[in-house]
Amino acid sequence: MRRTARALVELVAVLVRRLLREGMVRRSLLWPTALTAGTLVATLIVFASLQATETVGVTRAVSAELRGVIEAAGFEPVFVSDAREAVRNGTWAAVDGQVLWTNDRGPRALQLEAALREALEAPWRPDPVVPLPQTADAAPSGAAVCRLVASLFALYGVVFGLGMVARDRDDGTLAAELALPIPRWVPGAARWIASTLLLSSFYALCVATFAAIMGLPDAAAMARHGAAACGAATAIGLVVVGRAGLKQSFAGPFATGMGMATGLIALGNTHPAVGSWLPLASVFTGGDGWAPLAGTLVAGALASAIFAVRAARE
Amino acid sequence: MRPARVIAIARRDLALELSGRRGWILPLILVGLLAPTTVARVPLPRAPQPVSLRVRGEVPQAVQALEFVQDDDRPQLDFRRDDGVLIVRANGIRDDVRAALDGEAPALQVKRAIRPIRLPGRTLLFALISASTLTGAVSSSMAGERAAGTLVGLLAAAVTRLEVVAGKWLAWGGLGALASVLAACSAMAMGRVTPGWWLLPLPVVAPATVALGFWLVRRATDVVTGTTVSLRVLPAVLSITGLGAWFLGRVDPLLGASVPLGGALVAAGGTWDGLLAPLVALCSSMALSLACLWMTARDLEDAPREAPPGRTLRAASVTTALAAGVWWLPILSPILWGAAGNPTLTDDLPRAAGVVAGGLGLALLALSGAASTPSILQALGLKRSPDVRWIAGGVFAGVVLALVPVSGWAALPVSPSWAAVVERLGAASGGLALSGAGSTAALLGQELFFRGWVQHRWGPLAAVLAYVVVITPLDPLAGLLVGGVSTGLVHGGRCGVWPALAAHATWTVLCLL
Amino acid sequence: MIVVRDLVKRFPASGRGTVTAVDHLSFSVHPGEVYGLLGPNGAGKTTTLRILATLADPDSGTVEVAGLSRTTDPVGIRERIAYVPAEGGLPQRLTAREVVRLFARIQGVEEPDARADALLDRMGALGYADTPCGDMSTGMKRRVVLARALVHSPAAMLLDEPTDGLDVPGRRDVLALVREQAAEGRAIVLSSHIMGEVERVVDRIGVMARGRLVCEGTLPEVLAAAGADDLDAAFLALVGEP
Repeated sequence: MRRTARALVELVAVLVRRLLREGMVRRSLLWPTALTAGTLVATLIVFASLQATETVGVTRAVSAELRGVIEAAGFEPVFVSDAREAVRNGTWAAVDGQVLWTNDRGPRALQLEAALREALEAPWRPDPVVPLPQTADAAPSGAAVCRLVASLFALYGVVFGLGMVARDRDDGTLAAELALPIPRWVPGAARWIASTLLLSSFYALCVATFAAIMGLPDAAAMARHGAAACGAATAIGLVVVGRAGLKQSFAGPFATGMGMATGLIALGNTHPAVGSWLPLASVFTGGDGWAPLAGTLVAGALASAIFAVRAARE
Repeated sequence: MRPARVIAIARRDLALELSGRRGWILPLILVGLLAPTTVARVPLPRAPQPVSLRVRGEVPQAVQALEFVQDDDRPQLDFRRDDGVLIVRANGIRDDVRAALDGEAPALQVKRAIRPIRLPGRTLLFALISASTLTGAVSSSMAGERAAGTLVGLLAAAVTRLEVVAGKWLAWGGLGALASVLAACSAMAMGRVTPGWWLLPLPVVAPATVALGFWLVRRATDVVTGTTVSLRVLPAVLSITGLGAWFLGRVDPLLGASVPLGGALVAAGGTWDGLLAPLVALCSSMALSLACLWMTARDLEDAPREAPPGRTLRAASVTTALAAGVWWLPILSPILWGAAGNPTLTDDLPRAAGVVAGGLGLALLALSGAASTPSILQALGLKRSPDVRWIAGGVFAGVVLALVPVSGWAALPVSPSWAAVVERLGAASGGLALSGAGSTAALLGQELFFRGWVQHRWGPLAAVLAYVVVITPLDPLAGLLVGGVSTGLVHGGRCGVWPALAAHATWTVLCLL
Repeated sequence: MIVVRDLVKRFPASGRGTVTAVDHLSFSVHPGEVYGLLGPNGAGKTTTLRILATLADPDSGTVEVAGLSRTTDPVGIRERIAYVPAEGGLPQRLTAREVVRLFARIQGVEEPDARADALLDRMGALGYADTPCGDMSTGMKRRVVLARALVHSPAAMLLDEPTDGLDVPGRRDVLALVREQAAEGRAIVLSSHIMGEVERVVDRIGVMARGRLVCEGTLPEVLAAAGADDLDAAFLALVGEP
């Protein structure tokens, strides 16, 4: 028993080390968080820099007085030859005489419309309400990003579970481990734990980052759902690898694993009531994440058992 | 380039994957994913449902006469009069309401000029599914063969590297192209889609994706690495180039079609009419394929070596810059909401969450670096057992640091735009205004990274400097004091990172109290 | 030490029903003896070694190592053997020292770090202790694999093609190490298809062909049974090659 526990700890430590020594694996683990958070930050920087000037297209038919009104409302008038065409081509608003061309239906357009109507002495004008989203409004978007990243980490889980076994089988490492005086499930369980730990840790970084920069309804639950997905996906990888190695038949089990993982995610999307109980399927559902986390432990144990049975039958 | 040899290599590659008891799995998955896409009938779009309009106040008769208007205390339109002018308080006004308010002779007309949006059809899915299903095959064909030692046999054979790469591309790109064309033919035979020029770029999407995949994994030495790379990059490239092509195509279809990969993907969806755009899409993706194949063949080696991790100033600088990004991104980014027009979010977002993320990021960075050393625990300064005397010294140092006003943030002469930055970095480094979780994450992350990994790798001076640059860039004196004391404890005690942890913990607890 | 009786192992083969990899195989190896398992590719040598190492289950037959049955006490057998696969089984990203230490710790060896360094030193690989296995030469990898195999002082060693891919000095060193281990009382089963090295190192030879043991005995006995002057000729005659 003591030897088994020691072997499990040693193998997990070595497998984590082997994975982290791969530069490409390290970059892959950081990539989803860096890409999503970086894109958000870059977008915010662009918005912040665009805050200063809001240009509005005006034709020559717009009087200097009206141009002054537009300017006084905080917009910068820019001459265009055809207001309709300018809006068709992406300008958010353009004024041609007494016609305002715009595809924007939000407060910004109402603000411009109000200024124009007041100047033209119209019998009515809008008074735009500018509702600023609160954390509660932004948090669901943060959660959506985290769910997408969790799906990607889950696919990594399939690759890790499947690839670690296939690679180690081909170079003899697995045979050397299986010839040790330890139960057969230990090498399988070690691979499951190492992959799940690593993926969950880097996913937790993503959750913490989005909790910080966008807000999340329940960051801890989100982390639990992600960890459950990573574990279940690794278990799928360990199971579907079968007796495949790298020399033959890697693509088939890989596609099967991907199909199973994405199928479970889709199940959660279409049947949230069922999905919230299952790891992987719970990624796109609500819930506190404890049930999927327990489910992933069962999946890990099952995968290790199947690994042991298969190892004994070779 | 000798076609017979290219075909021979292609047949060998296909035989390796598609023979044996599990050989049928990949074709089955392809069929399983493509068949429903081919057969399914697209449901007709539903007619838009009428939406109710909540109003309040002096609602004009013309608006009351509109359908589904109801009085409500939480109105979407709030009407009142001001000097005889009707004021409509709203977040947005529907065009039918505007028409009702304007009447016969509007003082201002608001018109829309929307360019019609044409979305790609289901035929895009034929190309997309065929290309995405081959991710594993791409990795296994290049990285898997290298790891299994079979690539060396190919490279040593009487074939050029370009022939090797072209053969592999022919195998997998050909399979993808065949699958997408078969799916398209089936859909046409069943009358689900009509033939068009979209058939032209359809078969090049999978080959272009495979060529790009080969180039991405050309240096990967094992299949886990290779698959992880292709899995993270290929979908991103397909999405980004696809969206880019679609947006550019709205300006001019030829511009969109010229985007490699994405242009062919969007054109395969029948988005653009005529022959020219699909033809340009085909050419741009073929050009990408050829470029990728040539570059892959140029770099193809049996055993590419990664550069050993550097011990130089450059390596230390890169690590410090990375740490600064990991620490600052979650802590400072909320300020950007305010700059972009929403100060509410900047105020609402919990500061402690940023420190949790930053601390966790630093800890993972330290772990990733330490994994390359013989002993992770030793590299993180956790291997040696704690020495009680030095732990006591750490606690004492923590008390002293808490009593000395080390954080002079508020006194710094900064402009208002920098005030938020200064305030947030100050709170994060001082452990003030943070929750227990934030303080714990900061404690572990900072100590494991600076006093553990950086000090182990580049020495105490580098550890202090890195701490100042990353944690206290606007208050370097405080950083030098805290970093210097902690680093000195680790360096002098020679019992690992424990004394610095004790000092940091004591200091944080006293600050929180 | 090692007793194999009537061992049979069949594999399903696509389009050919089943293939009998090991066909009623019986032999025994005594402590301090090097037993050479000879045979052409596909003769069943590796499958036999994998069954002895408890990595594969036989369809019938029995295996005993140090009095323990592989059926009732496979873990006990694994405690007493060292299996060295033909592929080596060294993870590319781990250093030699890390690999040997890992196995020493799992095997419960006392002072595993010191034991690992001592074995690497003995195998002449201490200079490469901190080199990742993926960066080593084939000969150095073999030395590390042997150090790993010996880390728990096994009673028996199962070596699958231990000199495969080695140059002449490397082969000489590995064979000398094998003899050294036998001299320390270990029972060693060594599979090979290189006659020269077998002649030099083994005490008894078992020639396998198509899963069967076609001849067994000391070198003179095998030569006499085949009616040949040298082992190459005897081998070809016994396995039925012209």
